[in-house]
Amino acid sequence: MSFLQARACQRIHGLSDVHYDIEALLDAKIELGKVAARGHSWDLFISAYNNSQRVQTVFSRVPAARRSWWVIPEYGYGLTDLALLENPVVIARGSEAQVVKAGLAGSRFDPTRDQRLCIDITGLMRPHILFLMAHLQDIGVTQFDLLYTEPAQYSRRVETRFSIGEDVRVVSVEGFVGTHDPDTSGDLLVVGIGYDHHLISHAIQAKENARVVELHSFPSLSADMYHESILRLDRVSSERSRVSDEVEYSSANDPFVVAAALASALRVAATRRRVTNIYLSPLATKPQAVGFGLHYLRRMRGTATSIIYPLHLSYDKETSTGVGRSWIYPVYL
Amino acid sequence: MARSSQENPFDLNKASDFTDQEIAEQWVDLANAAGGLVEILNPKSRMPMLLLGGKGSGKTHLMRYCSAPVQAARHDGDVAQAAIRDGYLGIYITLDALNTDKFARQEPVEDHWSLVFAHYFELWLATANLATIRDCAQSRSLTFNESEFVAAVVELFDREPAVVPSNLSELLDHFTRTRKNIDSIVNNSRLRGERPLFDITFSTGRLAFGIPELVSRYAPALRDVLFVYLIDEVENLTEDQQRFLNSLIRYRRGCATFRVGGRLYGMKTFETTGSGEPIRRGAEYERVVLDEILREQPEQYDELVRRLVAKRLERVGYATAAQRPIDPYFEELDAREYWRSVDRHLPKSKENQPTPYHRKLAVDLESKLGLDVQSIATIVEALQVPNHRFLEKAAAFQFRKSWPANLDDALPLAVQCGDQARALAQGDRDASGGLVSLISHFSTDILAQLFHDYARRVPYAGFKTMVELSQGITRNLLMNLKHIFRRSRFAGEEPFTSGVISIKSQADGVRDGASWFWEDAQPPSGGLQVRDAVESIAVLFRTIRFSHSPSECALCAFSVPLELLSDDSRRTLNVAENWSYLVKLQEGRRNKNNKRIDALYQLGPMLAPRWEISEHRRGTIELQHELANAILDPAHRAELPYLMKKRLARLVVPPGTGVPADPRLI
Repeated sequence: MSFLQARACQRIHGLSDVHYDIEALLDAKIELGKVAARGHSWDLFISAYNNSQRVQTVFSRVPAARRSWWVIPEYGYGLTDLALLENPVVIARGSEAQVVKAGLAGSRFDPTRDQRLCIDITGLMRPHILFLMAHLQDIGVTQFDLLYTEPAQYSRRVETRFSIGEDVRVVSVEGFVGTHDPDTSGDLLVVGIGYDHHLISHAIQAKENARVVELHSFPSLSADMYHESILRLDRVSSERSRVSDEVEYSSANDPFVVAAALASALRVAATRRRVTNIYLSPLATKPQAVGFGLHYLRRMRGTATSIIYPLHLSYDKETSTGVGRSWIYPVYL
Repeated sequence: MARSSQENPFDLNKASDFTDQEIAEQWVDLANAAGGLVEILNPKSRMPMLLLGGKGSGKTHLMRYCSAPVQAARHDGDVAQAAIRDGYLGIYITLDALNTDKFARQEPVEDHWSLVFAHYFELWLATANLATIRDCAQSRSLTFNESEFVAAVVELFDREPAVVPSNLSELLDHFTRTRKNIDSIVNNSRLRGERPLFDITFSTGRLAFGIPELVSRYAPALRDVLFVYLIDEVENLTEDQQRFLNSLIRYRRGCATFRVGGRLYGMKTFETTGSGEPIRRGAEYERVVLDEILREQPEQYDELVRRLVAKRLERVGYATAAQRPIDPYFEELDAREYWRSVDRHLPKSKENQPTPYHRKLAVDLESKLGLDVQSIATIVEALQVPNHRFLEKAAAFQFRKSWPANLDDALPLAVQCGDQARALAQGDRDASGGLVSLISHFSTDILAQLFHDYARRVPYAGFKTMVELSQGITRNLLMNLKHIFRRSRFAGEEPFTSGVISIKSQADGVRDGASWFWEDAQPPSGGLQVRDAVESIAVLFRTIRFSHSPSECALCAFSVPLELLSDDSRRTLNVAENWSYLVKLQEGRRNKNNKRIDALYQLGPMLAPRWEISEHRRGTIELQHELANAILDPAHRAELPYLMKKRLARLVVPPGTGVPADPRLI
């Protein structure tokens, strides 16, 4: 184990409250099995329920004093679907702020009692993940752990569609609204390239005056997933302008690497051309969304930068097959 | 300076791809209209205007051309002199940067959020205006009493700032700080679920209209200059937010006015805040639809895009091509002698094997008229035109249009059709009877059927065709040309350097363009419903075009009684029009059964290659309201298969015994 991993483990054991910089955590993600093997336990574990094996099997494996299922509205579960769940927190439709706050209240989260908090982000929506981070930071919970389980494969491979329906509204994620400038001549949109090419198209169209930087997940969760995401991206190729041919790469499963890569991409973009407003749209993996959130909350608050997301009303309950590795991300804000 | 000739001249197709300098340099205008495109925007008029149009119609380009930085670029970089000479100063503001959703995440919007938006929006306008005024003030040619101006602007506020600004930069900083403070409060409010609380420091309209008046007072040379807020992408505002903008339009005063750009249905309301009374067209604002104007002046549009293409070619180094007529660079089907040369685009005929259209005819003669093999062979032989497949196909087409009732009628009809076609092949128009007239109406459909019979894609070729496909929207043309150039290079051709761009490259390119238009440019809401409807209409047109006996030539339009349609159907039509999937033709069409004028829509020509339908507008069909509702309204969708088949039954297959109840749609 590296020194940095050891420091992260210290955090997981509740031994440290030091504020680490993002770069210092580049190697900080730890496999769930290793954490559990050391006898570590959380006070509260929260997970968003869906049909994926990787969500359901991990829930019982996480060592925690209390476990709580969130049933988020986007999956559209009826009460009969939830008969086997113990005290699920069924959350009504609302903005990411309303969903997350209702979830935390339903799970009876108490920052003084539940000091060791772990949230499985695998089944959460990206705006939920982002708002959760901003909200916890705002109420003074600056240290918590996020869990993410990789899929073995996406169920329909290159044709996998996560969002359902075509009604989309591109919005600023609550808690990530920047202080923007009327001068849009150097606007920049950084898109985390994922499988949902419709979402990419909507994000690009919503900020059609901005020059686009593509942040690809490479290495991807598995070798074929990079190729599949490129095939999907090709379907919106006409919307991408020639001048927006800036491509950067970052990890698919390490938010700390994503945060560092995002910082680097923004630096490089600023050296190429003047930048006015910045929009970040994490449309790849959920760890990527965490990475965008980390970078924003640590470095971009109060600047002309917002995180935007194309909102869908509904999402597929099961988009993956198999269970890959489970990672714990120790978050310091 | 010339760039690499490897570069695709049509890669850049959005106004946002260009700098202010490039907008000024690459600008092309209508040739013959006095004042050109700028006259359409009419920036010297105090009357506010809604500048509407389809995606890519050039609204942003036009508004940016009239904005201060581009005005300056046209006048040696001196924005003050540009304003004085032009008589106006354009303050360009794109609403996408306002991120208006932060004031309206959920509908209905609570009142306090509307107040926050109104205050913030006016600050936004004032900041952009002040930044432009600062640029003006830097002009050496301008006498500007800056300190008194700044003091007077501070007086516009109800409350004096803690640190009183003494010059324009400090004033601008004050505006920016005030705005950013609201941003921060809004963000925290969203984060914490609290009401956003801050002081309202000026009354509505004080900054938007007051600052231009003060400029006139403290910079006398600018006293005749009109300050034009060029507000782009109005569709980004919610209904509630648009009410506030409408109120500014109603209560505008002094030397400030508005030009509001947006999609065709970008305006969600014309109501104002307070009483809700709508602003009045003609009295309080003008409405201009840019692509409609360009479609109504096809010659002007044609001239405009030719010069636009020449500029693009010149920009990347195709100087020779830029100076020559563009048409010869695009291969076209040779229409001489009734498309005699079309043979070389089709598979070679095999001796003793019937052509596909004769094979299909034989099947229909047997199944519908019960003819025997010998009779069928005689009929097919009578219809043959050696070495001229277009006319041979035309003869078969004519035979089908007059479909015989029995064998006694069939043979003379075949002889008559064949004789006329063979006479025409010999150049004898006098002996060609009604065939010449039939061809003059249906030539493109006969060609399309001929290619379809041989499982070849219907060709769309020639620069004029490209202009027609673009439906008055310059970005559509550039997008198609971009794909055609790419396809041409990939095929080993040397576009605009030597030879021509082949018909195949053009056909492949426009299909790519249609795919972009269909796949990428999707409406944010109701997209599925609208696309289903448009696809049904396109399938209807295609089925008629490739049917046994098309009722209309070059069919690509339909008329529909709007007042008999459901609300959802009308909404579908509006969204489809808004996204240029359909083009509403202002003239409408008189209903055959009564004197009512029905609404008339053309399928967006950009989509024509996708379903291989006609890009030329000639034929129109009337959609009865039942069928229209079934196509346009999901609540009536279940009735569509029955109504569609009923509508097409007589067209798809020839009459006779054994007409199937469910003719297969193409």
